[in-house]
Amino acid sequence: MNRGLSLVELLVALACSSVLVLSLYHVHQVSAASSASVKGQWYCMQSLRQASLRLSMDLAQCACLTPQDLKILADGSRLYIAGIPVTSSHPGIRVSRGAPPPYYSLVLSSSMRSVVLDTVDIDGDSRPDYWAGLGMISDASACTIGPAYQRGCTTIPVTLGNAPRTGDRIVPAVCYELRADGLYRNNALLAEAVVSFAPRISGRQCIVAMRARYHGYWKDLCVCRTVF
Amino acid sequence: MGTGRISVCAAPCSDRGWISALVLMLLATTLGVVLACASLVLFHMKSSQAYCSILQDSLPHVGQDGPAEPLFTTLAAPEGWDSIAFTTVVQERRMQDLSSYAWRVGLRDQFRDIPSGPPVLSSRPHIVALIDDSRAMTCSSGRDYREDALYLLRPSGAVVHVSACSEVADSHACAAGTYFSGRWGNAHQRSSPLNGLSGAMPTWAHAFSLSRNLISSLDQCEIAVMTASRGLIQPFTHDMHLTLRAMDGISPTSPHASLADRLYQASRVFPEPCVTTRHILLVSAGRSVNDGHLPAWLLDYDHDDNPGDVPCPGEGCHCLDDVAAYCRSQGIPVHVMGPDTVFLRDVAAKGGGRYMPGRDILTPEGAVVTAPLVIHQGQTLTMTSRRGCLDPDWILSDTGLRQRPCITNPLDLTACPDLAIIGMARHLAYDSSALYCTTSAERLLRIDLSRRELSGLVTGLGGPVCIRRDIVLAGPDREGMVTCTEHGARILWQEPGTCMDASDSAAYLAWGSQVRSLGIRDGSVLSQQDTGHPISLLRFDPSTLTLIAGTHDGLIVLLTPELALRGMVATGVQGPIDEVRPFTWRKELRLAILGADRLTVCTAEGTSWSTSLDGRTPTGMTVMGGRVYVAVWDGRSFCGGIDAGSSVLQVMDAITGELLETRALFSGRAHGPSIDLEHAVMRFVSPSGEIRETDLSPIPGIRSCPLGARISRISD
Repeated sequence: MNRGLSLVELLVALACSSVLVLSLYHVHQVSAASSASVKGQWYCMQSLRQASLRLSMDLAQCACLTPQDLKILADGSRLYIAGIPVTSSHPGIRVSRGAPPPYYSLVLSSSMRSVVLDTVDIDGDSRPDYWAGLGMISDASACTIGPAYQRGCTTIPVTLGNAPRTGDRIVPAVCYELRADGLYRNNALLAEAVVSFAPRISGRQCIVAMRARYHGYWKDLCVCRTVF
Repeated sequence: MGTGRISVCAAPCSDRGWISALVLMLLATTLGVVLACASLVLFHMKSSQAYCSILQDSLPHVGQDGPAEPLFTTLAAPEGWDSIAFTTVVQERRMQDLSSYAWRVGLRDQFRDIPSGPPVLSSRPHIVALIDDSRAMTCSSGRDYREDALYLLRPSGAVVHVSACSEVADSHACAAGTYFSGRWGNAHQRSSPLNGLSGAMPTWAHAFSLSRNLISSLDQCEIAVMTASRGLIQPFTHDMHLTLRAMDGISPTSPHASLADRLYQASRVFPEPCVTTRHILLVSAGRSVNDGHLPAWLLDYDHDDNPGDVPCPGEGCHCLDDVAAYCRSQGIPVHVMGPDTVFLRDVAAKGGGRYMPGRDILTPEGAVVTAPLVIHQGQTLTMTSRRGCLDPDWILSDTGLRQRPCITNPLDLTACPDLAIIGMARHLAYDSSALYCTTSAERLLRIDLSRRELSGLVTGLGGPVCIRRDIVLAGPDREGMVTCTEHGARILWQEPGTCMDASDSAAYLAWGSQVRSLGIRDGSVLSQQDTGHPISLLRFDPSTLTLIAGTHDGLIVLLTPELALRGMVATGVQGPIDEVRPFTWRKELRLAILGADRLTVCTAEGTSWSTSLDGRTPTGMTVMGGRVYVAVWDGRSFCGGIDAGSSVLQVMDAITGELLETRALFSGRAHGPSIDLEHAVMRFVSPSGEIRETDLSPIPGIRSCPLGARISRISD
């Protein structure tokens, strides 16, 4: 009773299978391309989101209990935001019983490579408020603390930026810096896809334009916040 | 073959195997679609959750109850603000893990007026007190001692009235003499009768004591003191201390009483300028001895043909009424205080004066303001004096306890209801509930500001006042004593000093070049330091915990609270330092220093800048927002009256000394500044009560200033 496939039937079956396989392959190709695109854009977004989130947090806490005229300074692709956000290793600047805010250090002496401050504990809580990788904003300039700095020492090596003048006020600051491998915050990689970081102060606002790029895909984001 | 069901999807084969395969394929496809949809939903849910968490992280967490009540912390003065007068009030408002901060200045102490002479008007009554110091003054006044009053028998034999109430039952002997009650005096201290008067109380105790009380309340007058035996012993002065000291040096021991001669002499001692009215106050028993050595035309000036109107080497001269009439003709009324005799009343009548005059006819009319304004709960209260006595119209009731130092133990106070407010407001200090004010007649008043009630008065306490919690320090008074009281109602201790200030725990007193630190409650000496220079001013800075001593030779000595030497600064001020207001700038202590006509700002290292006040007298100073505010007055040369000249407010940059603004205030000496933070104004008041306000609202810190926000959530 059973009969096998005829040649015609076989050819028809092969043709149908080929069409089906080709269709599936095409679908796979489209899906893979789409997935790569989505992944790239998602990666860009993640980087920008991470950067903007940190930036917003830091701007929200800008110059907390420190002089309000030393809030923020944009220097090319570097951005300094006064203050120390709360982390697991530092409680941030707090109100001291000994002295009224705003809190700051004074530059006792300054050279191109280092500055000497009157104190590194600006709020008097016996906890040094400067460490390597952190930024510093002074009356006239901003700079970054060098990696060789030993925490607690009043002599602070300076790597990037301009050294402050003797007699200036100076405060610790969060430092954003764009490097070849991404955006760094306080010398720690924050967003590796960020390839452009252009902060500027316009009136009372801090505007930061960022671009992230990944495998040919890119995204732009502009963070704008009133800080003055 | 039976009739089967016709399927819409025709199976390629009618075998059961194909049907099963087709069903399975359909189920697999359906399952795949469901799984795809589920994964899509799950992805969106995860994405939404992630986005939600991102949003939550980027925004502060706000509880359902909203922001909590703000917390206020009071700290030392802000930078560029007078660190004695101001504090920093930091406000922290928490919303779960977000804390936002703001600050504004608070007021620690109102400013003390810089003393610049007695508060007299430029044209003022001039009074000669002519005291009969003959032995007749020890004779009876025709009155008995008041039974409940207290009297003092001095070693010289003079009896004076001390108080209307006596804590001595009979008598009490001490170095000052013998205190006795009137009851005891009526029995044991009777004076000899004279002119038919036979009361126990001598004329000296009656008339001299009354005249002394009267004169001690004539703050706005220029007074000279003469005696019948020695003539002018104290030229005209408005320094009540000199006047009273001269009067207290008189005793009724002279055998002579050249009353008419001295009255004539008194009529010629009045100066021309700065005089509104002239008066002679004759305090006498009315019995002349060795009198009448007058020009012939004056002997019977009243033409009463009295045979006694001739010179007499002994008793019997009757020229006193003639000279009184002459004085009247010269526009000088002669008032008389003494026994109630026809002769003395006649002398007063012919002299155009009063017998037993009151203060109202000797003091000028009108109100005068002699102290800075009091700012209480947004209201401005003026310390107005009328007829030389503090009499502000905002005091609604006067039920306070009147006390004076006990004569057996000066640290005890004796209640004495008859004690009155005399003298004008000179120094004041106040907190949220009470105002303490000393008058020029050395009364310490306690005024309940909430109830507008005079709630206490203690005599014998004068000088600058400062409040430290429940402790009120007053002094130095005329005798150079600094008194520490509890609420101004109980004396804790008294020590000599030339100037004082206090922290919460210690009082600092200067005496010559010595500075002593005393326990504020018990007066025990904690430490002392000799600065080597006579000290003119002490200021304790609670912000930097520094005691600042200004010296008479223009130096500033900086001391720790334990009086260890911290530094010494040559200010360049010639003469004594009148006022110091410390402030910090870039963490460095700076001092705004006033000399007689110079303002200097210096650091511990030396002078930053200095400027002349062009001969004008500084009357008030403060430092706010990096600016020095100095009120200066140019009226000191005009008879020294506080209503003369004009006052201006100068505003200078505290760091550079640049003159930023000069603002005319008003005519006369400005009292102030009084700071009203609630309304953001600084007020000065003139002697006539005119108030001038300066808007302070542009100064950062007067209104609340943001200090940023802090998210306490750990962000790494």
